[in-house]
Amino acid sequence: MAPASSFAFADILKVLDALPMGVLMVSPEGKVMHMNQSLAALTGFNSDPARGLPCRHVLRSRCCVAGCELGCRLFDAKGSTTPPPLWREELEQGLAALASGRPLAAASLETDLLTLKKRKVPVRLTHFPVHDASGRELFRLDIIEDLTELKNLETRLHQAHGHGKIIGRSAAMERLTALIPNIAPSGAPVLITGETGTGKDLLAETLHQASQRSREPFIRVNVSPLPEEMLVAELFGHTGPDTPEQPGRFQQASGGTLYIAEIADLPKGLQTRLAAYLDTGSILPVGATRETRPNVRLVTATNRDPDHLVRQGLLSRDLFHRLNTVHLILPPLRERKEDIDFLLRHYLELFAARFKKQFTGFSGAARDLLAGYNYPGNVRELKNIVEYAAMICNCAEIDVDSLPAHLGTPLSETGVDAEPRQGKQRKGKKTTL
Amino acid sequence: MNAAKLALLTVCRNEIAPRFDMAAEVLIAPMAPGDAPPDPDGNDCKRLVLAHISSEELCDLITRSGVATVVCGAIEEDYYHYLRWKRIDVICDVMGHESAVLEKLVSGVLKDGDRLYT
Repeated sequence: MAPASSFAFADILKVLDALPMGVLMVSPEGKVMHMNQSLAALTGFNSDPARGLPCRHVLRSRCCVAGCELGCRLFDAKGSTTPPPLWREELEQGLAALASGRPLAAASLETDLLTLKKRKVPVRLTHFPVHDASGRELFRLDIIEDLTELKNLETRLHQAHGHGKIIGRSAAMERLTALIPNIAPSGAPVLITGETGTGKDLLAETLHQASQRSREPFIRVNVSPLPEEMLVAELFGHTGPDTPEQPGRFQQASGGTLYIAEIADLPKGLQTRLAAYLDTGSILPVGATRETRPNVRLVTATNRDPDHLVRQGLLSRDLFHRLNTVHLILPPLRERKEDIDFLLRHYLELFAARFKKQFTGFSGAARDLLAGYNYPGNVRELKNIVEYAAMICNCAEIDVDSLPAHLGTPLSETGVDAEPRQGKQRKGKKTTL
Repeated sequence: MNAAKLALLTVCRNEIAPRFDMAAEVLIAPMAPGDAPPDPDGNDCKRLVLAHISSEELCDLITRSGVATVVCGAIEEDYYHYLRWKRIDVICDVMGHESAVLEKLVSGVLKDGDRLYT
């Protein structure tokens, strides 16, 4: 281990100042020990006047205020108007500990902070507690990365890919979209049902975007085949005597929306916990003794009939009745065929732009074939068909040849057969080639 | 006695909440220049715990309550300008205990960025 004296204090601060990302050193009492120049530029605070202030008033990140999810329990730390001396000894000891190569337990999350110029900046906050050889915490090192550029890029990509909006001009879809402005602002739980590919995820995200929670996180949960105990920790977070508090999806979605993609895949024990959350508004993280109230709107979805799931015992009746406050049903594409032509044109424009091609549209035969197909995979399948066609077609007009071969054949495995007329058309076209 | 105007402080654990949009509690106090600062726990002051943490709902509460001055920590530009447009004084980036803040506010010397820790 390098001796502490081998570190020149001024040099340490110079190195920190030269780093391209923000660095905040916080004492175990929650007071700012040092902030580097990158963080000073980002937040608008000057390093010296910020020294001694409670870190929550300097960093001003969402997680600092909501209860630091990184394990920082420093809210009661009082600040001081008189700047304290630099924590020179602790800094040197901490740097020596870092140089010793002892691994640091880092925790990281995405949040945002408010600058002195009143700008909200999305950031990634990574938190390293630094201990001396005896295990005493010397200080906490917070690394703050500005995610503004990444978030802007993400928004542009979403717009280019047509995400974030529900498309449909049929009466069924118009009835559904007309409900969104009324449903979105309420905090009521929502249950979305619809076959695969009908746009349940998109509808959940649209509800979030249209709500007052739109600036808060939208967290999507896919229930993976994990043991129930791990799923509980994944969803509700966990804490322990020797481990820092680990936020679950509820804590990550604080103030925003938590979307559970397939509610019936949740184990029954977890369903009971969710029902309790809908009743009380509070959750109990694993290993915690005190409940927390995360203020999260719950949106759930299933591609099966919820009544049938209840009868089968896959969905708790209690949970179903609580989720059923608002029940949105997405109709399958075969029941709103008037949307097909509009969707075909929409996705053709989208993929033409992506593949840098120009199309005038679909030929009459191709349009007939596509209009007659039953789309067991719904809008997702239609989108994939158009993407395939736009990819392989080198003509101005997309003809039957550019469509996937399976469109002309009966889809017996899905239980939904294509209409025979379309199959004949497809075969007829192929024979002419 | 001077006419009292209402001041609203966004608070968290008896100090100014670090962020306006994350404040779960507000303290509404009558402010008459020259009078003694009101006791935050006295009958003159009203403490409200908000059902939802939201800047929009907070702005709605402020405009409906006839508040003349808002004292808060960090605030986003949109909400700051909205409140100013509604002719409400906003003293922001304030840090410190609510009693210390009320004392400076009633004396008319509280300003943006004041750090009132002792």
